[in-house]
Order: sequence, then C-alpha cells, then structure tokens
Amino acid sequence: MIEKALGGVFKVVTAEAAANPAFARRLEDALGKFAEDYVERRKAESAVANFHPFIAFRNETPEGFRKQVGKFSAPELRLVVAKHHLDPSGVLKARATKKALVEHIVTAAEKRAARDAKLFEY
Amino acid sequence: MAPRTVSVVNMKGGVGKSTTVACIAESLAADAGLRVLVIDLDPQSNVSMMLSGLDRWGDLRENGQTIDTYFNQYVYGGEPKFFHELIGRSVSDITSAPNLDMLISTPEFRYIEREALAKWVRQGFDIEGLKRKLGGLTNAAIESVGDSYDLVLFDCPPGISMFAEAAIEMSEFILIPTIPDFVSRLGIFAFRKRAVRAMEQRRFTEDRIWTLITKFEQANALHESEAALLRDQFNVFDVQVPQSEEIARAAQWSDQPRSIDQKYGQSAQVIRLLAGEFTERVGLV
Repeated sequence: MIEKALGGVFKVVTAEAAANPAFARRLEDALGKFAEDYVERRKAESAVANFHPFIAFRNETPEGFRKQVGKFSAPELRLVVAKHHLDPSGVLKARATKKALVEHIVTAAEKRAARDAKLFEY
Repeated sequence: MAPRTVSVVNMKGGVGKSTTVACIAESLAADAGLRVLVIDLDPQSNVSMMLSGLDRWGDLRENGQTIDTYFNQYVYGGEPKFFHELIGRSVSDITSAPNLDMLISTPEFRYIEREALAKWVRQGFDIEGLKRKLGGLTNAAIESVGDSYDLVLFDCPPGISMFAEAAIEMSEFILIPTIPDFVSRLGIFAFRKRAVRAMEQRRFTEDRIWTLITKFEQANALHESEAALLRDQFNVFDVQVPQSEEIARAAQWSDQPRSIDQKYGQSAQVIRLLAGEFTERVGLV
C-alpha cells in the first residue's frame, strides 16, 4: 500500500524536476546539503564505532583514557555521549565545548566503573 | 551416558528464559535429532504452555503428570509415582521433534515449596538440610530417566526458589538470558555469585556460566552499547537473539503440526545458530 503511494509521489516529483529547471536546482541544493551532513555524520559514527567508554576506561589508566577521549572531535564526542547514554539528565548543552564533553565522559566512565565494581559484589 | 543438564535462569522476569528454553529444545530435537527433556520449574507454566499447548497442558495437568505431583508425594505422601510416568511425551507441535518430552508445571506448584518448607522445617531440617533434600529428590528424578535423554533443560522461575536452587546445583551449565539494558544486566549481577558458588561446589569453573543476549534491537543504540559491555564482562554467546514478532508468535501452539521454519519464519535461522552454538558449548556435537 505505502509502496504504491510513495511510487506515485516520486513519479510526480521526477516529472516536475524534468520539466522545471528551477525546481530541479532547488532539489539538488537540498539533496547536496543532506549529503554533506550525511557524510559528516557517517564519518563521525565510524570514528567512534569501536570505542566503548566503559570498556576503554577499564583497559586504560585514567590519564590514558582521558588522552584517548581527547583525540575525538566534539561531534564525535557528542555521538559517544548519545550512544552510551552518558547524559541521562540532559545536563550537557547542545553547544558544549570539546573540553566539557571530555570532562563529562571521563567522569561518567569513572562513576560507571565504581558502580560496576560494587555490582560484582552484589 | 548421563544427559547434559542445563539450567536457564535469571533473577529478572521477562528476559526470555522460557522462550530460550523452547527455541533450543525444539531446534535440537527437530534438527539435531537429540532426545530432549524440558522440566518447567516456574509456576507461571509459560514454557509448559508454549511447548505442549493449552489443551495438552490441561490433559497432563488433569492426569497429574506435573512437577507438582512429583514433589507432592514427598510432601503430602500418597500413592508413589515414578518420575518417568509423569513426563509428557512428544509434546511439541514441530513434526520432526518426536523426542521432545517435558514435565509441565502448574500454578499450584507455587504452594508446594511453601508446604515443603513448613513440613520439613517442622521435622527439624535446617536450610542446608532442605536444600540437600530437594537436591537429592531432583537428582534422583533425573538419574531415573538419564539414559533416555541427551539433554535436560530446566526452565527456572524469576528470582531463586528452592527448586531452582536444586536445579542449579545439579546442572553442569547455567544459561542466563538477558536483554541488553540496565535493569536486565542487574539480574546477572544479582545471580552470578550464586551461580559461581554452585559451579565451585561441583568443581566446575566459571566458564560454564553463560549469558545470552535476547530481545536485541538492531536500531537501539543503548542495546548496542550494553551488549558490548556484557561481552566485555561476561561469557556471552556469539549469537544474539533479536526482538522478533515471529518468535513471539511462535509461543502460541498450533493444532496443525508444522516445521521449524513454518513455526519461527525467518527467525528459524537465528534459532538454528543459537542451538548450534549451544550444542558446541555443552559438548553434544
């Protein structure tokens, strides 16, 4: 059902883009912007894909961990925070600096490690 | 040869214990031709109803072919029953799983533990004595049918009941299904020490305690994060069981005999992979 509906919509859009150069240009601009954001996002995702803050914290010295976290960019650190649910209260502002993000992640990893150590003795 | 004995357990409910038992039991009986006995220790009777269907479960219950009956005779007395007489034969609706038997549970089973405790405490048993007594009865039951099965699976209730303790103590392996989220992971921590102690008593090592990730959602970043952490902290199955409508639907018994593929749809593939890894881990290859 939905496939048919979408097919109909795209048919109209395709026909309009072919007949209307101005519409085609605006469509290209919109898609181009999306592609840029998409590439950026995917690049950041793949940069942090193999990084798990809680596992890394256990396998590193505190200084080593801080150094490791510091290597990531602010958008990458934001992804780490989101993926591993490191800001459950939403205290980090959308424009938090890289320094603040690093500090937040280090603190969260320290707290989690301490909590897990207790859980093993549950 | 004695059967492999495995307890499926987690302190937390709703993590997929009964579903895990049903999937493994049906796949091993149907695809690997193993002789499997499922023993339901949970008064909720979920795996009993899933594997034998409501009609057959009702018949078995009416005939007194239940786990309650087995323990009842030691609590209330009465006509002795052999353990093998209580087992429901070929319970599954899967056509190629004739060797899947089970001992069903009923909601009344929850009273037996209370009554047993009251009676045996009056007779002077302490907690350790009670555990030994229940363990002995469970052991004797399995030994009496051991030659007939390759695998005995215990479906334990959430929490740790005395019957679950007895099953854990006599099991060679412990499988802990877990949803990769915060509270489900707590269930492992809560149970792990008890499991380690049970293994140590039998001079087994911790590598016989396994975690299985269940109800995994591919598009859930938190599941991905928690699953990685579980793999870092525990002995986790390579296979992850996804959240699946097909697996949930399979819980409903069918009057029409069917194949594994008909029952589990596309999820049959992951169930076969799970059963394959399970078979290797318990040494039934």
